[in-house]
Amino acid sequence: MKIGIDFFKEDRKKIWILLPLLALLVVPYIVGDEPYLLHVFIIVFVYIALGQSWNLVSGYAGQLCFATHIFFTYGAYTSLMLLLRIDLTPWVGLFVGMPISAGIAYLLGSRLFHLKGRYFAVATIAFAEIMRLVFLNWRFVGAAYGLSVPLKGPSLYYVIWTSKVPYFYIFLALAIISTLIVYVVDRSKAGMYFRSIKQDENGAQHKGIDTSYFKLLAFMISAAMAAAVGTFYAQYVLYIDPRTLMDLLISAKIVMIVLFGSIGTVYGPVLGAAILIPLGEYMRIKLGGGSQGWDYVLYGLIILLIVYYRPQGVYIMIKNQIESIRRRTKNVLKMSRN
Amino acid sequence: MDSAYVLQALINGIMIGGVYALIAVGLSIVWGVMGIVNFAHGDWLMLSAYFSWIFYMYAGLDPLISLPLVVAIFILFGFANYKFIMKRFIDAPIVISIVATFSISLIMRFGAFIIFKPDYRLIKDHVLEGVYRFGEFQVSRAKFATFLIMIAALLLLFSFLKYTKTGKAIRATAQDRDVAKSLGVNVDRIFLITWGIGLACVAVAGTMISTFFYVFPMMGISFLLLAFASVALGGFGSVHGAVFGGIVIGIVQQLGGALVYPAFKDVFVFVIFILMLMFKPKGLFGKY
Amino acid sequence: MKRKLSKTTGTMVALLMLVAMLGCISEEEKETPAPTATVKVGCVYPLTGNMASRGVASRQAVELAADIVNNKYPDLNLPLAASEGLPNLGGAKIELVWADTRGTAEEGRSATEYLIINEEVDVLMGCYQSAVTETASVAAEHYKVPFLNPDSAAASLTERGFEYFWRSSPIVTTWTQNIIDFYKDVNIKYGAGTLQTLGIFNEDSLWGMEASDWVLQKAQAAGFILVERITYSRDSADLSAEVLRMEQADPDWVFMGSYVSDSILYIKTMKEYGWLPKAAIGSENMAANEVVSTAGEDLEYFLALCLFPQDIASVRELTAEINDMAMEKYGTVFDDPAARAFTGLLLIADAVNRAGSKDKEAINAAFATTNIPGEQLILLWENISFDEKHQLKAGRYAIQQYLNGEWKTVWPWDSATATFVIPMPEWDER
Repeated sequence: MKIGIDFFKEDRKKIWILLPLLALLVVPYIVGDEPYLLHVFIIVFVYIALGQSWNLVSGYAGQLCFATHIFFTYGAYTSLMLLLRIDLTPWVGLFVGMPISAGIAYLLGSRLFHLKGRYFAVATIAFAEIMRLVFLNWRFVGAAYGLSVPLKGPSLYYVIWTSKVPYFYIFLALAIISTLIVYVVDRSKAGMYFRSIKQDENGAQHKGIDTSYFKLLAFMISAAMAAAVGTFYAQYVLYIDPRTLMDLLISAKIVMIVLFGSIGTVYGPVLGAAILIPLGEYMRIKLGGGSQGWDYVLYGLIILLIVYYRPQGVYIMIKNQIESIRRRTKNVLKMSRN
Repeated sequence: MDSAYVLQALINGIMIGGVYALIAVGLSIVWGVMGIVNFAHGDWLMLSAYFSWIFYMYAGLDPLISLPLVVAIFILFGFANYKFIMKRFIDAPIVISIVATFSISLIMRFGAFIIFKPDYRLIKDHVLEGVYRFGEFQVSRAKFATFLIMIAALLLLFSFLKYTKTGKAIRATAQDRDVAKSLGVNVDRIFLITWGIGLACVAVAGTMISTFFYVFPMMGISFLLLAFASVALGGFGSVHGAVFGGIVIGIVQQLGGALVYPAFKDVFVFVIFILMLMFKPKGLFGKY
Repeated sequence: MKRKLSKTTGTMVALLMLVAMLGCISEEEKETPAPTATVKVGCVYPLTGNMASRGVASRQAVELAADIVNNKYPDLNLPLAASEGLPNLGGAKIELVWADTRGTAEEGRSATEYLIINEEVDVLMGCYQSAVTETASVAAEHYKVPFLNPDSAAASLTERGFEYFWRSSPIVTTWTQNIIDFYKDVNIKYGAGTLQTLGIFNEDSLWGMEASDWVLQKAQAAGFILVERITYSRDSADLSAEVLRMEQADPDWVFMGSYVSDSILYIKTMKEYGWLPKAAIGSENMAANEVVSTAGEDLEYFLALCLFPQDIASVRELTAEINDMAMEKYGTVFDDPAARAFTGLLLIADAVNRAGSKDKEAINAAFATTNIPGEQLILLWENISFDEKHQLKAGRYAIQQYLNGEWKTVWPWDSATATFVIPMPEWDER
């Protein structure tokens, strides 16, 4: 709570966050019902939210997870199944999907957290693939047929609209909330614990931090966040199936975006998604369409370059740049004064 | 269920397991010695398979003949890959090196897509066409030859690691890098050689695979995950561990598929994979 | 510290958003209004990704069809071949605008929306893969743009009650019925009990599962007994376990619900194990060019469905002519899905022409009254007309067998150009 009050105390400085947010709020009114443009924004928001989810467990708590897309899928399937079977609104289905996801995260984490970095990462990949094959063959949830959202819109109850504008705001809210969660964690005691666990887990344990508790906490929150995004994503794309949603490339994309932006920071994922998603779409239109795959090649190159030269990520890179400029300006001013 | 059926499935498992073993070794050595998880490993496999195919298509070389050539090329590729790219990531946080190798994977996969188009290429009419039959059982000549070559290559590697000075240096580095350094080992050179060995192994695998499987840009993914499982089972950094792991994974996959539930044949593998990680993360023979 | 943080981020994010927005808007402004002398047909296909070879093949076919419409080919008995462009629209030409689905449903929808909003196409066609067509057509329906699907098989596509979606391809219920009818005929002709048990290889995608479900349902309704159904993954590096298991179950005939690469691998693996059922039939994928070029003589005696049998060119002049044109232009003849895409474009041109305008409502209404006679088709259908669900009424598949290096039509018996061989000779007897 104290953190919340602090946030508003620093009013003038926060203008740099509030301004773009306000700008975003009116985007739909400026551009009109331009579905492609809105779609790009929505995907940016989706990846911000998923990125923050991953950022929490991998960036802050340091548990390298490649199964974020699976928790995302759990949310989508849970709420859609409930919608199809008992006509339950996704607004409630949301709150069934999140705990289920968190629960599975708990089961997974409690069994696997003793594993070190790369081993845990690879274990999550195996888990993801098992889930994909299970869902692909599981008739109860549609198996390979996938699930279609009944087109009962426009409707708030069924979370379905023909225009993209309501989705824009929903996903914007998800992006904001997820960033807010990371913001709160970042400044909280829990965040401090996460950081020390990430830096040196044994050391943290010796200091008396219950590492298991905090790792599981991060993992569960992360899973719940991803599930929430999944619920609304299903309502947006109107059709979900294991092949599309449970593709490892989605988690890979999340990881690359957050890393590009700056892992372990509050705004890294925002920056990463905001830059890479539109860039990817632009490349796809300009290059991928006719010449088969150039866009992925360029994407890979960009990420490789960042990881090679500025692994701390773009956000920190820019921050450092601006700081050094400030310092130099200050020094110049100081010298000219003398 | 008659025993001939089970036995054939077992034989299949061992044969295909040999392939997985070969792929796993390269992955395992790099992981054990340098601590890098190479997500592009499957795509190097794909590339070597394409080379084999190119030599076949344009120079009329049977894969068995082009094998040493492809291996030599890929050792050089390995050196280059290390020197110009991977060297940077040696002590990087794990997420960085994973993403680095993954971006290389993307570039290779889609680069191959652009260059070779998505068509499935098959090498027909080569020396290893046909099947060996003994009694009720059969083994494709190509897979059998692959198995033999795998054994030969890995014996070679094993002896190299055990008896040569460089090999010992590699093992020392894997065990404890600082101790090795203090003993005068040029760790950077060791890494260079290790990476070259890793790619050489995968080149053998890729060339041999091109004799019985088709070559296409996305083929790496199918093999990579199974290779991971083999490495997890056998232990990171251990050659005989990778062999053991690969063969066990092959057997689990084939028996699970033929006897239990084909749709889940990879699930069985991944479950074993996770169980291994849960209870014996170093693998059965892993030292590091 | 914190102050700089917020300032930097704030600026960055705002700038980025602005740039993204401006970039996309300025893209649009560069679009010059299309001259009214063209009708824009948006084509949504997998131009990259795993399905790229399929997308490319369909593209070739569609481009040839557009060429025929746009130029004078008085000797071809195809709709609008004799005239240059669309006569009822003052000779307006067809302009094809392509967008890549990358083989995924999400991209398919984006691509479609791009074509509708940014390229302002008058009518759409696509997408080959059922899952992609599903989402792409939702976008078209929302924007009320007529969408012709000439090549997706999922039955559900025409069960949605869409106003603007038309499917000019026989669906899975048609061809699975054709398979069962064929095998029923085989039992009649060669003696009851020739084929009793059935095994299914079921590729684990939407297409594979649906096809296998229908084959199973119809087969059981006709009295066949299922002894084994194996679901497998198309990315599988090895299909030994699957073949081994099927061999163990020993069905009389096998249905291979597979795509192209897995079909090839199955044939190879069956050869490796020296096993064959009495009859093995795939879908139209079995007849794809790649299977022929890769499996070669191992393909002998396998059966496939064919909507566009090559050998009918020997009895059908129109088909022969188009084959020649394709061969000359692309070095290959059209396969099944390409022939449907070809026909689809002609269908579109015919509808737009009869509508007499580019008004989407008029075009959509014109689709409903489509009636292209069989003689004007390169395919074996009686005609092209749609039922109340906007589904093609009179589609039909032939069954072909690969004999002596060629696909030969063996069923319906009266259209056969060769005699059906059963049982398939063992591998070592060839």
